[in-house]
Amino acid sequence: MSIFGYDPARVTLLRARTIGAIDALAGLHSSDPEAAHALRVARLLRQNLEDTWLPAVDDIVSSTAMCTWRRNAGLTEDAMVRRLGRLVERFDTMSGTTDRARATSLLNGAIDGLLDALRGNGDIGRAHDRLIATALVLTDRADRDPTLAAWLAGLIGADDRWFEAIGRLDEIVRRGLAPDHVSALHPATFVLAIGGGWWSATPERIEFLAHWATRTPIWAEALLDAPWSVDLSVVVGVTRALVLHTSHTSDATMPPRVSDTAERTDALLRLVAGAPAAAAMLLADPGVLAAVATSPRLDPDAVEAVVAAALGGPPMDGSTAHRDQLELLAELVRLTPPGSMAEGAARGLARSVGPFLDELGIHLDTRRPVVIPVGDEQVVLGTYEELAALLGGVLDDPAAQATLGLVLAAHRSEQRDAAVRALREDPARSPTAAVAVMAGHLADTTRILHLVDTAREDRDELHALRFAMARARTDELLGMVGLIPAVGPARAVPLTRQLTTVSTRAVAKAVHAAGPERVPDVGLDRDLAVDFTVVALEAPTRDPVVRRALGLDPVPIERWTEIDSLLDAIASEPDPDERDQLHARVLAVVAGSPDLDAYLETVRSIAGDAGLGG
Amino acid sequence: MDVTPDPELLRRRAAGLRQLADRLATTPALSLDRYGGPETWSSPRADLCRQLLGANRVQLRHAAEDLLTRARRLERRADEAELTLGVLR
Repeated sequence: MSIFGYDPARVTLLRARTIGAIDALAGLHSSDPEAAHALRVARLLRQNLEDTWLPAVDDIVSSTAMCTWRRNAGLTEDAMVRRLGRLVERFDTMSGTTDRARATSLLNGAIDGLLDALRGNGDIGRAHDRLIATALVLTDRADRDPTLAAWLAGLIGADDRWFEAIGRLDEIVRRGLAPDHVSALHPATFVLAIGGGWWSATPERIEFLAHWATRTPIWAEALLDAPWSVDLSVVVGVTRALVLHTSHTSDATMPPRVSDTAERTDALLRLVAGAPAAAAMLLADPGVLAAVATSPRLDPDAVEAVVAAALGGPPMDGSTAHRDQLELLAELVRLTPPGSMAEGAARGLARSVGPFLDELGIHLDTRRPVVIPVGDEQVVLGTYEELAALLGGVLDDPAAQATLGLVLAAHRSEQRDAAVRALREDPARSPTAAVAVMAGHLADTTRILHLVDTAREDRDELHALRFAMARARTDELLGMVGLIPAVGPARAVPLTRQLTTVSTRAVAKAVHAAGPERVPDVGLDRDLAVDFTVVALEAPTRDPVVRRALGLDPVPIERWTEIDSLLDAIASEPDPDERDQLHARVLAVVAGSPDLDAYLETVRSIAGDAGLGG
Repeated sequence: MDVTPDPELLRRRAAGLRQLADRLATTPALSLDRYGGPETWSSPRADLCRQLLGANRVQLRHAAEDLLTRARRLERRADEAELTLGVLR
């Protein structure tokens, strides 16, 4: 499976150019007030490069995956030249690469020599050099001869001696008892490079490698160093074993030899999070999903990343992947008892729930289990109460709650846009039907808000959510997390989908920077009522086609102009009392027109705060 | 009392805006896509980064065009101010 590809030289150049681009943008200044907008756009671009683009490039550069183990295999120069020369001569005297007996004898000699040296019968440095030189020559031959490569993989991939020797060597190196140039990482990456796809052929082979990975951190380290040398299923298999081991839900009887296995587990989780398909594969294991959802022993940031990648990653192969994601969500509902959700899982879920909201909004039902149809099949997500309990776990974490607020606001905007598209596509429908279309779309978000309301009855505990929802309408907040929703190609990716890639840490930071630490307690209903009016009026105010479709043509243009300026003022007003006053003025203008008043009243009664039971 | 703006000042501001527009239009960030295409890196994350950069680039180009419009407006005001001052003299 090949999902990723990197060109080391080009990535290095890209990084340098990115830093140059950031510096150039930082150097833009002007004291002219007319330049304020342009400078703001330049600042947003710079932030995007700093917070999104550069970290993504850095993640690749910092991974030594770009370098093959051969470039710096840990040999001293003299030793390399001497040994390589001798080995190449010996190989050249063989009858081609068919002389498997000679190759076997060379490898056995090298690994047994290392094991002997580790037992005190020989020089560790020399045994290591011999092993590496043999490995270099064999790898060189294997590169040109796939049959030899496959044979070598079978020879080494399941040979306990290699894993035992490399594990012991690692221990000795960590204790500082080996010569300086000796590293267990080089032979370990050799084994991975040779084993490559061999392990992925059967679950038993993956299990073999995973078993050794729980005994010594060197295998996880080697995978992290050169993850692309093996199939993703191997990375997933090893990560699975380590997650179960670290979270102590495994039946593994061998304790880790060193204490930093958990650190490697977290790093592998982050690695898997880089490939949504791998993340989905990992979390498809109920044991891993339960550990990730509830274990406090795993790093929250790593868990957030892997949950968000599995649930919110772009579908790789259409509806199958979408069904898998829905089933994963259903499993998460089932495996997370109320009050037990780990903070990383809460944050990952908050980030990735956006793409599910369309279906959730339509199918939410307080009386029966929520069932989502996918093609000819269907996925039972859980009961209304179970979903509310899951959401309650998300709301327990402030960063997750703020992110959920942003996601809900994005969803509401998308629903409004969907209604506008529908009205524009079929302008011939009656105004009554058009109002019903608008109200129906907005009602989907209201149903989700009702679920939030059920999840957390005490609305005083929803400050972060409310504030993020209210501020989400400003470009500043979205710009701070690297997203610009309203321009050009970005429209191709819905904001709820884009948010799956933004860390909750970044959202929490932006929300904090965008306003007061504690949001004035004005009540959820009051906040939402203002937002709802804005959303319901924005489309007809700014789009004549929508206005016509909704039967609002008779409303004089002066009234729309007044509403437009009031909506703008509300969007940029941080003070809740001022927002309330502006809202009252909007309602007064609306009340002055019977048509407009009837429209807003109808939409509100179907999809507004009335839908919250307020 | 109405004050006629200083045409020279307006022209200087217009020149400043034009200079900034020029710097925006030629800023290296606009050519990053040449170095960060799928031949350099490909992954869902890379795709998203490219999409976001694309959106930013469009916005930056619009901002540069907006600056030129504002500069032209200032220059027009400078022309008008010069005419007014000529009449007053």
